[in-house]
Amino acid sequence: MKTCVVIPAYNEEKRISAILSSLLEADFEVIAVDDGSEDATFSEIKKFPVTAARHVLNLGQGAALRAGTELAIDLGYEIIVHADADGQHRPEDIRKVTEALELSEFNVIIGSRFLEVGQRLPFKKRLILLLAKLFSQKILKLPFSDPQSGLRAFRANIYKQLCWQADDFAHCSEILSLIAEKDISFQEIPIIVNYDQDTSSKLIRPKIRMGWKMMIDKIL
Amino acid sequence: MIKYCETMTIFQIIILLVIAIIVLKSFRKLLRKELSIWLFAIWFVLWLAVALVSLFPVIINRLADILGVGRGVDLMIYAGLFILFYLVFRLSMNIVKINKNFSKIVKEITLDRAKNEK
Repeated sequence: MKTCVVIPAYNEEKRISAILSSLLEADFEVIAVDDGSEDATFSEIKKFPVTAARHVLNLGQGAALRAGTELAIDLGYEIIVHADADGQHRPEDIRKVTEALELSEFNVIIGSRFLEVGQRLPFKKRLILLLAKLFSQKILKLPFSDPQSGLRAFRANIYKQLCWQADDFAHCSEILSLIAEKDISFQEIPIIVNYDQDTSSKLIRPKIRMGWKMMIDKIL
Repeated sequence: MIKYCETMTIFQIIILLVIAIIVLKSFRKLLRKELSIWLFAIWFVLWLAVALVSLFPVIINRLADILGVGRGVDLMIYAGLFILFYLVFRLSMNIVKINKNFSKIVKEITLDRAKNEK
């Protein structure tokens, strides 16, 4: 099945080349969306034989993924994979989620950091993710082991059901909420995420403000 | 009337002056067609009501008695708070709508450019 990987990128001029190289070496077709970066991210993207898109202004990862997904559907892709631009997601795991979707009846495959025994997380990250998981399971009532996972694959024909509205990181929880509410078949599979000094210093999602926003959205 | 003017407080005089300036500015906007006649009429009636209430506070006291609120100033506070909350609600809804439209526009531009470059 025709598959593409959508990579949203914001101010990733130093790391985007590595992830695009590794994906192209693994024979993936890629749509890279520059979310209004202030650095040379888009110039770096243009050096590679990928479909490049660019937001004129920074809107957020959710918006970049939405644009990349709709572009993928317009270009005829049948399976769409979302992955991060900072190299956290290994091409072998991207291959894993793609194959899991192709070989199964599920409509969505989500990579989970909590199902893999070998996953090593920095303490701060582990704590935040555990809190996010508890919040997601107890408050939002979402039955997922890794609610903030950025690696997911889904069939293009379910996009209309999965069309998230959040422009920011809240899209992660919104997508999971939609999967649960609309009873979309899904499976979680274990993945290992790369953490280095650069990625651990990045903003850890979700922020408390986003958690509050998700809770308000749930109530309303 | 003159006797009444002599007994007016400074606060009442200031309020009336401010209202007069606002109505005058609104009228100039109406003449320049920056404001519709209906909108001008609505605001004129509202400001006239405010002017009457400041000149004759007994009006608001009578209204408070009729509504069973208590004092006239209590009625003004309740009404003022209600109007403010409503305006904040309307503004929030408008901001959400504007943000959605903004995202939609940026997405359309992004997709058009990407497809043209492909």
